[in-house]
Amino acid sequence: MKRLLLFGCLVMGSISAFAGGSQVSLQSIKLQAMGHAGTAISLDGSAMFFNPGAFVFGPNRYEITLGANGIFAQTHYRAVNSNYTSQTQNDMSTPFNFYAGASLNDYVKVGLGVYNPFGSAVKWEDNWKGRYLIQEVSLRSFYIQPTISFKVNDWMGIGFGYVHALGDVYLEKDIPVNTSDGKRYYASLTGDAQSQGFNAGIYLKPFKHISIGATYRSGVNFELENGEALFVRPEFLEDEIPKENSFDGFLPLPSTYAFSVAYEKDRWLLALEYDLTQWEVYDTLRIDFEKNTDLVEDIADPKLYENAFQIRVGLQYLLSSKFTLRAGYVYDRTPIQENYYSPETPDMNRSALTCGGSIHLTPSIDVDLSYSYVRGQEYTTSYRPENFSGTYQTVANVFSFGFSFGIE
Amino acid sequence: MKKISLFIIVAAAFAGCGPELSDPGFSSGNLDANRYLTMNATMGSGFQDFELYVTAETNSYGAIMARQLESVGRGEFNTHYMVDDVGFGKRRELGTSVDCNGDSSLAPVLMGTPVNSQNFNSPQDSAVIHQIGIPGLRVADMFNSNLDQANPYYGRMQYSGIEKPLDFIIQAKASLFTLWFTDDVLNYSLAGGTGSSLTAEADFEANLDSVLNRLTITATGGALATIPDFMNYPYFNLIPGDALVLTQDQADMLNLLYILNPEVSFQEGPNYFVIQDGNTQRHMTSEERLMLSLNLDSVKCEQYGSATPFADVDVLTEAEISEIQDRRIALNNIIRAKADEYKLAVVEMDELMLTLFNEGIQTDGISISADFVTGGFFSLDGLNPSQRGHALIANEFIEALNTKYQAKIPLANPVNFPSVFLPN
Repeated sequence: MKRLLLFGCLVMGSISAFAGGSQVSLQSIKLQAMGHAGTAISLDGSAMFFNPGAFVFGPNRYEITLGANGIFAQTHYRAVNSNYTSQTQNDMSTPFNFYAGASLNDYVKVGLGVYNPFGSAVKWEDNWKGRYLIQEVSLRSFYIQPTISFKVNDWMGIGFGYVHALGDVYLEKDIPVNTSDGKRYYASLTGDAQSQGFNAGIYLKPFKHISIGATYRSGVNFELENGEALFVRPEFLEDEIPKENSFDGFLPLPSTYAFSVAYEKDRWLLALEYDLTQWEVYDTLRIDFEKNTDLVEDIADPKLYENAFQIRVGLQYLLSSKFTLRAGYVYDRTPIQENYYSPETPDMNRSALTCGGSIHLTPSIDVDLSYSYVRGQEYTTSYRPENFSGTYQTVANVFSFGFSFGIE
Repeated sequence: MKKISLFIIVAAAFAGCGPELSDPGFSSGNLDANRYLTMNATMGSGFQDFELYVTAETNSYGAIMARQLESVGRGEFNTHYMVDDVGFGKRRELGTSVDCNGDSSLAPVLMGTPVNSQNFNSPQDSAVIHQIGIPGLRVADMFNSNLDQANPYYGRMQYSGIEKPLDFIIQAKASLFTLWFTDDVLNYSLAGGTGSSLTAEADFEANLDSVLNRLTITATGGALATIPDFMNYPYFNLIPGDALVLTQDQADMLNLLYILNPEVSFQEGPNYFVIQDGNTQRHMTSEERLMLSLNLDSVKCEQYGSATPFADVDVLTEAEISEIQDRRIALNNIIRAKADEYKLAVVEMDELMLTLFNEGIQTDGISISADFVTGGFFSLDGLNPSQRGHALIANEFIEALNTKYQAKIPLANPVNFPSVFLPN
């Protein structure tokens, strides 16, 4: 009867929390309203993230910038050739950012930034069709970035930031076992890790109205060690599936190249940007469990992400001494290949329309607001390793609010 | 006023901005799905875990199809299910079984729940019933006015105006139907090649023709399934014929018992059981089959199969197996020919079974195969499909109808149906 117990494929089959969908382009409330096209401009302390070379060209000698976002994202799913539908019930996620900067002199500015560049919060309906692939994912990352920026001359700046990265992840999926009492059996993984990275940028202002920026943000490799794995399974399987286990995992976050050109004249500012995210680092997801059994095997799931680009357009108009208006557009290409599309990251090619503005309460205090509407293109695709296919669409509404304090 | 209208415009712009998947465009094609009738014998009725019971009927392939047909115009669909999950009381669940030696093992054990006599009650009104599942039903039984005496699963379905199973068809005036007759071969096989004989080809053909003739008066289409090669199923293979393991002393004693029979001799180690084949007693061959219904306690503690030979009812001999297989193939050919004649779709059940026996089906993070208990396709009886198995079968029927009638009936999702329950 022992062979009865050889249930294949019981354990965490696929875990990837990081996708285009998990790259959170919300590092500045002002720039959020401009399609996040911030690599060739310096509006506030968030330049530490966008382009540390531009940071020194910012409007203030001393500044503090704060922002918070509320993301309301929902994905609808329909099985192929089926009338089965489901949808996510994501909690609101709230990435934030904080930047404090100070000029040491006319040529050197230093600062500290804290922001959440990657994150994900996907929660599917209970008992949904893909529950054996994923039920819930939550990923958070906090980057703490001390930064230094140098004005080489009136038309060139360079800057460098060191990134200390903290990440945590939670994943949950059902275990395919039925008992007559209808109880739910599932496995969850909880882990965190620290790592480091950097960013570096160059800012040029070769003509009166035109500025150019280029930034490289390094990848960050999270080595998850001794993460906590919990298996809620029938007591009947206690020998085959240890209830408590631990795991090591490796989760790479990609590097990004950003190139941007901005044109500023009178009350207008127009920025165009091309970003390339090196998602190819996310080739295979590996999870090694401390205790292995026939039913609890280590995981090596193919992800085969591809590099993906974003096109960003941002526009700013200084309406009056009290108000500034902003708008933007983003096209964001998904890194996920057609046959490797897992519902843990319901990402797809997306377009976003953004808008917002600042209220200048005093010459040194701004209230920043922005709103983004992100709409994915309906995508019919599959995750071939588990033969899970369907049609997906994701829409997100992002409401952002922040303050900037600056002294010229 | 201007502000209010601006607000309305903005609000209208955001309403309907949530995710919205495009219409998949389901249709019944050349079929009229309004009045769907599904008529089935053992394997299609939902009978599983050794019994017919309400959850199994609710998730039998015909009931699953009825739900899928809802989106392409199905109307009324009435059923008369068992009232609970033990039915007539033979249902088994996976549990700890203690044998005559006091050894415990994991095995199908009878559920202790008492039988509710309401399970035997006929429908109270005479509403037309659209899902007919009668374990044991042979095609000839469709015309048998005395079947209620012989088959309580039919007896409980009878309502006023139903004198024989064919009357279900007459009453339902189906516009679409699915039929799966398995028991013209299965009844004989389950009885170890005893009892009622295999249905003769000519009878099967004539009776099936009458049934289809009647159905197609009203139906725009339908599907028939073939009888699968169940001789491969766990029910007929789990207990090996050579499971008689003896010590030298035991072998010597048995040899003494059979000293006058040159056909029988035992050695130390595994031996083939002894069977009664007509007037002779002999060892089973490697091709012969025992069934899951065998009483293992009498094998372990009463020397059944060794000192006392297995009775005919407990064994399928090579002759019986080849007779069963020949007839099964012949009846399947009749099913195909009749489907052709009446322009009906055919579900080739062995194509699905071949996949399940060979590579299995990977879908939605689970794998489904023909393995006993863990495979997911078979119920605990190792013969009839589980609820998940029925979902796969429903999809076979749907795909056959979609192809034959240019329809687009939505598929069911097997992952959302349970297979064998493990002990809690």
